[in-house]
Amino acid sequence: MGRDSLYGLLFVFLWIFSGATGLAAQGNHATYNKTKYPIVMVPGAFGFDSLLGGVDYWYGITDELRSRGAEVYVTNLSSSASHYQRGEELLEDIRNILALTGAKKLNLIAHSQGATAARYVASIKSEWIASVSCFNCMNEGTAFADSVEQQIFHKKILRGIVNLAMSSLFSALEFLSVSPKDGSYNSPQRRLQVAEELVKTASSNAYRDFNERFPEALAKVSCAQQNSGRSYERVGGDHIVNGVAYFSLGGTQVSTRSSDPIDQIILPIIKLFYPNDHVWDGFVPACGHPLGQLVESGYAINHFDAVNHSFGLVKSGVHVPTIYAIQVNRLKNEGY
Amino acid sequence: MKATKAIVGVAIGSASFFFVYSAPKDEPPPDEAMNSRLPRQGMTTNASQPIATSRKEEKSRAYHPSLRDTQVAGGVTIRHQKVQPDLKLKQLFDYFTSLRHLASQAVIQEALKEHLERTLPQQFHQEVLRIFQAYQSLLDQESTLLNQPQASQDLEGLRDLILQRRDLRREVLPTEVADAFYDHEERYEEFQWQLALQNPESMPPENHLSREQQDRRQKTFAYAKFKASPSQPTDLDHIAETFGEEALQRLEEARKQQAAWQEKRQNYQRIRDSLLTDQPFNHRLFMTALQDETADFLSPQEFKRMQILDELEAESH
Repeated sequence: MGRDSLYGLLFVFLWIFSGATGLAAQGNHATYNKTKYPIVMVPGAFGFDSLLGGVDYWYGITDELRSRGAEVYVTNLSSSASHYQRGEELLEDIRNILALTGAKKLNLIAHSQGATAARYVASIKSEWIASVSCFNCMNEGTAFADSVEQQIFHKKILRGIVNLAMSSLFSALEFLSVSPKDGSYNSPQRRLQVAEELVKTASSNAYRDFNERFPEALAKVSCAQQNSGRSYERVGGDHIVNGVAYFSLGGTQVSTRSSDPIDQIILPIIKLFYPNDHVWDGFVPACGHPLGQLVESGYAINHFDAVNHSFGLVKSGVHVPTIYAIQVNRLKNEGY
Repeated sequence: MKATKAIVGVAIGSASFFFVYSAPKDEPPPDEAMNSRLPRQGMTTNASQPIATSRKEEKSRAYHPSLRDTQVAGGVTIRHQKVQPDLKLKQLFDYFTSLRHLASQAVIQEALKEHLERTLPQQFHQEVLRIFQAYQSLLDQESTLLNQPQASQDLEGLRDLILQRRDLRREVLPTEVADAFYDHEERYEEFQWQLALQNPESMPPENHLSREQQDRRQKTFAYAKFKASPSQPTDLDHIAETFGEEALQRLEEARKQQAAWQEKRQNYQRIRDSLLTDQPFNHRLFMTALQDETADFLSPQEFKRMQILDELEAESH
C-alpha cells in the first residue's frame, strides 16, 4: 500500500470518526416515546380537535410526542354530551383505530372531561386499553357547573337565553372544527351541541352517578372527604385495575399568566361561579384530579395550561409538551 | 513517516474517544444518584402507591416522583469538539426544567451536572452548563415578560407578546442556540396563529409546517380521511398504502364485530320489551329477569353497556 493510499484511508477514517459526523453523546431523540401501543388523545368537554376552528387542542403536544417516536391519534368527541354518550363515541373510535393500526391495545391520554370517556372505555372494554393517563382531569365534576346550574338553568328566561347563545357557539365551533388539522375526526354518533347538557354533565350529581357505576382507579379519598374541595390531600387510587394502568398528573396554579387571554378573560368569568375557598385549577377541583397512580400534582400549570394553551403562554420554564413526553416515556418503560 | 505516525495516532485517539464516550444508542439507565438528591420544594405530593421493596420500586424511590420510572430525555451532541446546540440539547434541558417550581434552580442544575458527569467527557461540561444557565435565565425573563398585566387584551396584544417572546429568546441566548431551540416551535406557532386567524392560505410557504412535521401527521390524516368517508375506494387505497393491506381486512373484521354487537342489541331489546309487558311491574324483578335471560349472550360488562344505551335512547326521545 502506497503512502498516498494510506493517507487516503486515514483521511476517511478520521472523517468518519471526528468532525464530519460529530460525536453523539446520547441518542434517544427518536425513540424516547416509542411505546409498544399507539397513543390516543381524549379531549375534554370543549374537545373539538382544534380551537377557533384551527388551533390544535393539544397545542404542540401531539407533534412533540410524534417527533419522539410515538404513534399518536387524536379523537374528537362531542363538546357537550353526557359522559356515557362521549364514552360511546370514544369506544367506536377506538374500535376503528385498533383495526387500522393492528395494535392489540391502546394508551389513552385524557384531559379534563376526557377522563370519563377514557374511563368508560377502559371499564367496558378493558381488553382494548393498556393505560389511561390523566392530565388535570375532571373526575368529580366542578363547582362551576353546580353554580351555573343553580343560578342560571333554574331560571326559566335566563336558561333560554344562555342555552341558545351557548349552544349556538358550541355548534359553530363543532362545525368549524370539522376539518381536521391534527388528524382527528368527527364521530358519526355526534349530536347537536346543547349547553345545558355540558353544565349538567359537569355537575357533581352527574359525576356521582358516573363514579358509582365506574369506580375503577378513583382516588381513595373523595372530594366530599376533602371538605368538598376546600382541601387537597393528594391521594391517588388503585394503579392497575382489570389489567389497565391508571396514572394522573396535574397542577393547581390558577392564574399562571396575567397576559394569557385565558387568564384574562375566561378565568374571571369562571371565578364568578366558583367558591373562592376551594383548591382548584381554574376550572375543576384539585381533589378531582387523581386517578390511579398520582404521579405529580404540583406542576405550576392551570386547567388550560395543561393542554399548553394559549400559544404555550404557560408558567415559564414548564414546557408542557415535555411533561407529556416524560409520562409517555414512563408508559414505554413499563411496557405499554 | 512522522506525519503518518501522527495521523495514525490521531485516528486511533479519535476512534477510542468515540467508542469510550459514545453513550448507549437508546436512553441511559435511570440516574439514581442524580435523582436521590432532589428534595421536594414547596408543595409536596404523595404518590398513591405505597413504596414497595422490589428492585424496580427501589429505583423509583430514588427519583423525584415526577421523574421516576423515566429516562433522561435528549442528549448532547459534540461536533468539531464543540457542544452542538440542537433539539436534543433542549430536550435534555426541558427534562430537568420540568422540575421548576417543584425543586430549586440550584438543585435542578446540580441534577444536570451529575447527569453530565455520568454521560459526557468532563471537557464539555462547562459549555453545556453555560448554555443551560442562559436557558434558565431566558425562562426567568420570559416569566417576567409574560407576567406584564394587561399585555394582551386583544389579538393584536397577544401577537405582540408572542413576537416579544421570540425577540427575547434571541437576546438572551446566542443566535445559533435560539435558532436551534426554537425554529421548529416558532414555525408551528406561526402556523397555528394563521389558523387561528382563519388565514392559512395567505401564509408564506416557509411558515407552513415543515415537511417533517407534516409527514408525522400523515397516519392520523389518513385515518381522518377514512373516517369522513369510509366506503370511498380511493380512501381505502390510501388506507392500504398507509397502514398496509391487512388494515382493510381488520376494518372488515371491526365492521363484523359492530354488526354482531347490533344483533346482540336487538336480541336484548326484544327480551327487554317482552319483559316490560309483564304485569305488575317490579323494577328489581325486571332487572333480575333481564339479566338472567340475556346472560347466555351478554357478559356483565356488555349488560352494563346495554343499560347505558337504554338510558341514552330514552334521553334522545
